Amino acid sequence: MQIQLVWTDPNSGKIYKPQLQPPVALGRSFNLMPGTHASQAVSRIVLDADTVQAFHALLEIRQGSVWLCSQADSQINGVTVTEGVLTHGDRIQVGPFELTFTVVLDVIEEEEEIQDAVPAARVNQGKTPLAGLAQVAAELPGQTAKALGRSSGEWVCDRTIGFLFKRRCDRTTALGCPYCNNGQSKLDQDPYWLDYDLYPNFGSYRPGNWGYEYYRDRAYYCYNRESRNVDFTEADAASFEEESDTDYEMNFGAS
Amino acid sequence: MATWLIYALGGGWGHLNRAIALGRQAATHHQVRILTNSPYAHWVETQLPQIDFSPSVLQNLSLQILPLASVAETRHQVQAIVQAQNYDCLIVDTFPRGLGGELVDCFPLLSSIPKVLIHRDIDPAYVQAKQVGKFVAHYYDTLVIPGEGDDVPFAYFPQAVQTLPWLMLNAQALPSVSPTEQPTIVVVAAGNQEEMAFWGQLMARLLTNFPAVTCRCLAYTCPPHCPPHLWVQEWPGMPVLNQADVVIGGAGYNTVFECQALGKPLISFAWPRQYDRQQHRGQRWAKLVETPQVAIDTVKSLLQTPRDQRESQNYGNGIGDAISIIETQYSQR
Ligand SMILES: [Zn+2]
Repeated sequence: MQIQLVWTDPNSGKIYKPQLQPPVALGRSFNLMPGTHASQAVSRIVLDADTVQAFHALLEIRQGSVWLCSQADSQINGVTVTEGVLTHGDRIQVGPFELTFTVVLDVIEEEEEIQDAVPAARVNQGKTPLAGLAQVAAELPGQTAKALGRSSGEWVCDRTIGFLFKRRCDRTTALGCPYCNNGQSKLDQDPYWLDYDLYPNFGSYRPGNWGYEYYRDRAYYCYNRESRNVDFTEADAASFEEESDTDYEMNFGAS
Repeated sequence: MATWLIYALGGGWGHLNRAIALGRQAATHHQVRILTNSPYAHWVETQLPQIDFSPSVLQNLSLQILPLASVAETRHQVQAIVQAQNYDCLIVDTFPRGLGGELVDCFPLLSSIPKVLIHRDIDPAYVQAKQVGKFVAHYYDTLVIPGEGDDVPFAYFPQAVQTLPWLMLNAQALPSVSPTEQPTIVVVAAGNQEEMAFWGQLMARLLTNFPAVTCRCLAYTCPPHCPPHLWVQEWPGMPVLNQADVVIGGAGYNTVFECQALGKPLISFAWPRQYDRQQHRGQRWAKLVETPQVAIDTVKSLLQTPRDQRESQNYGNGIGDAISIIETQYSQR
């Protein structure tokens, strides 16, 4: 699995967008970060600031998901964590550095020219297992819809949407779409960013966390095995809380 | 001139009536759009000129009637309308999350628009199942409780404000009633097919039991078994209710509070509704009955007391206060 980290150096203002193969180490000192981890070569990224530890954090793949394991204070989407699963579009804060995490897979040659213009990459949905917080359908420029096997010229919305399980909007018209804000949302903007505060431990899917059951039962949420998309937003979420509650909000003729 | 969008989705009369009661008075100074999917909306639209002769009110007030569609499609249409943000204030009747939960996905993107909830009673089981309280606390600037006081789930929220019940017509606007020799019973018939059949049969029994009483059935369509000449299709219904000595109906919001304002005794059958607690409302504001026979017995005892044919007292209407409360929402921003 290829990932991309994008950040702006607060000292120089320079933008970095390396694509890397995990494990990836983040820290202040190149020499004090491990060169290998579990017998794999580690990509080491130097983040030069006093508040960054010499070896601050490691990004590694566990069961198909990318995890952040932090030796010191780090944040994912504003939440302080020692470890956590990373989802496409997540913001990692290490000291003064904010890095945007995206997943890159199977970039095919004909699209390479677009790669520069669009910072985010795409996921090959056919090959990616759904694991951890859903593998996100990445931001594919709408104009390249044909790459997904659609008929040429058919526009599909390329914005990231979804609450528990991130996915691509994929509507053929963005008109009136609240999920992607009429297709105007920024490519890396999460429409739910305000909501995470309302859900302690959002994104944690281990037993004992409230997200565990949603993740375990994900196959029931209109899970599309082909696309690996889970059609699941917060509006749907409460429907799964209790079986007896599923009748609510299903009838627009009720009063 | 500010633009108000009133979310009034829901079956039956209640949501539409409350929204129009508010909207038509607000429309003297504001542009008001009422979003509705009520099956009665198209007909009501044709009746509006009868209560509002002022061309400016009619021009400023519009019903945005959603076509009958699947749940998913209706959700999407509502979201597109709400998301357009071409209004200054969003007023949501009864269902904080939207009747289909569709507002949940919109509100995070509407942070700059003030949101007011018209807090009619809703079933606490629903409130709990969907954690509605958390959502209300987080997203609504103000809750206006029209008439039901402390007896509603979010009455004690800090942003809750109470008003008198909302009524379509102010006391001054009500046509006067000329005295009659015979007492009058008005049956208010609304609801699904099964309920309409019930009201029709009740009408038939009332005619047999009270030959010396004028019986009328206020309904959108003539119920089965109800003699058509006794059927009254009229909107708004308050002038018809005002002619009654006794009213028989359900225990929905409008029936209960219109009778209360007009000082009419209401005999209520509490119908089951998914979100509304008619039983709960009826216990407090009406004479609840369970069978037609008990209703007839209750009518008998009510008609034995001397008839009071004075003009109904000058009741209050919570609409005026509600408009002032809503106006402060955006003028303070
Ligand atoms: Zn979209």
